[in-house]
Amino acid sequence: MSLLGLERGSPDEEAEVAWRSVLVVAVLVIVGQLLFTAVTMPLFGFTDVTIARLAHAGLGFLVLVAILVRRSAPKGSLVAAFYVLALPLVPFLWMRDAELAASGLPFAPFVAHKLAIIGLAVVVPGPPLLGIGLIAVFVAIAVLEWVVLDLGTLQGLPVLEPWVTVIYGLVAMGIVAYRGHHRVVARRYAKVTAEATAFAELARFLLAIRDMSSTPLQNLEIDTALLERNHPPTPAAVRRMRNAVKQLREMRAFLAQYDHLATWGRGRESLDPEELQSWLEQLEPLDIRRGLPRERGRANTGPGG
Amino acid sequence: MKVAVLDDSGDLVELICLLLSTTAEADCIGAESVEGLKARAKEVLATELAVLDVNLGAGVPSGIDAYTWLVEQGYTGRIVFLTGHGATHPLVREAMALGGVEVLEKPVEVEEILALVGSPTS
Repeated sequence: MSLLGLERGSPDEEAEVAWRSVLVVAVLVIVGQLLFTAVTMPLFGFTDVTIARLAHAGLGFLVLVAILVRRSAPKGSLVAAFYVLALPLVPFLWMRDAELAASGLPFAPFVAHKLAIIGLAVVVPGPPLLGIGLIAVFVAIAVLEWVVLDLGTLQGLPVLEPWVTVIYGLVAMGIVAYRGHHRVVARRYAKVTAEATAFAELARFLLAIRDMSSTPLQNLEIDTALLERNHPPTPAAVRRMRNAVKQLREMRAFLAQYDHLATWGRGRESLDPEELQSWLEQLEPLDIRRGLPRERGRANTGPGG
Repeated sequence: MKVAVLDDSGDLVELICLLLSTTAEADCIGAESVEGLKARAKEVLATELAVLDVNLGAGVPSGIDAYTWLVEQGYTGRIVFLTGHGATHPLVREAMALGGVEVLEKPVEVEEILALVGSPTS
């Protein structure tokens, strides 16, 4: 189901992508419609199609200003803005082709449809299903034009159309579906990478704690053994043991500054060693436990050791 | 048996030397830095066992540097690394990749320290 965009990514990231899509389509609408107006006006004069072109360019300008002024618009509004700009192309293309057909001039039908279909496939934001639906509308309007305006007869064209446009539409739908799938994979990768980084930092933190405790523990280990072997506790021994305890206390003070980072849920008020071990087991896929001692006192031996 | 001990913790150097001298009757030469070890080169090179801490602190020569110096000086004794770091620490990995050495992770049991000098463990 991820192919259909049912998995959600970061809202900020998706809004940014939608913003850029609206920016691209707004600029294309403004530039494209103004250029076509300049090209077609000498041929057809100032017609309804010219008015529609200028209205569409004006709409593109308004949307462009709106998204530039409100840079952090919500994703839903941006996706809506994209469709507000794209959907008028459907009646506009019908009007334009009707005008061209009525003029009796030869023209290649559906070139604009194909351009729009491929362009939309590349930039359409929001759920892939919605994008596929939009492309389907453009394909459907081409087929309807072919039948209603009788373009095949008027132009004397071979019957490759409207099927070529239909094939373009199918390819474009594939592109939209692929983009949706790619977004899902990219989100998953970003999530896994973030988790791996967090776990690696956690592993470093846990190792640092263990490293800080190792020397004072070693001192206590030897001093305790010496006391057990009937060596009387000398002032030096007491000093060393006090130093070791002091170092362990300093380690606890160091850790205390991170207390506020802990979150305590109901039923998780205590953390016993077994529970901690169980939790660490969950991190095993990232292999952060490689450095944990397998056998007390021995880390490893070198090749010759 | 003569033993050289290098660790940046003066307490630990003192303790290992005390343990080895009182329990295993070893002669112990302690140092808290590579420079300290080099300052007593003649005595150190005459030892049969060198116990080297791997990490001697930030920005100072490490136990690996001490190992390199010992090998360059033709040291023939046994070399054992002692470390408070995990096996993934870069210096520890470097130590483990060296030939003819052992790497022990703190806290090492007293019996294991005594076994290094061939002393009975009880």
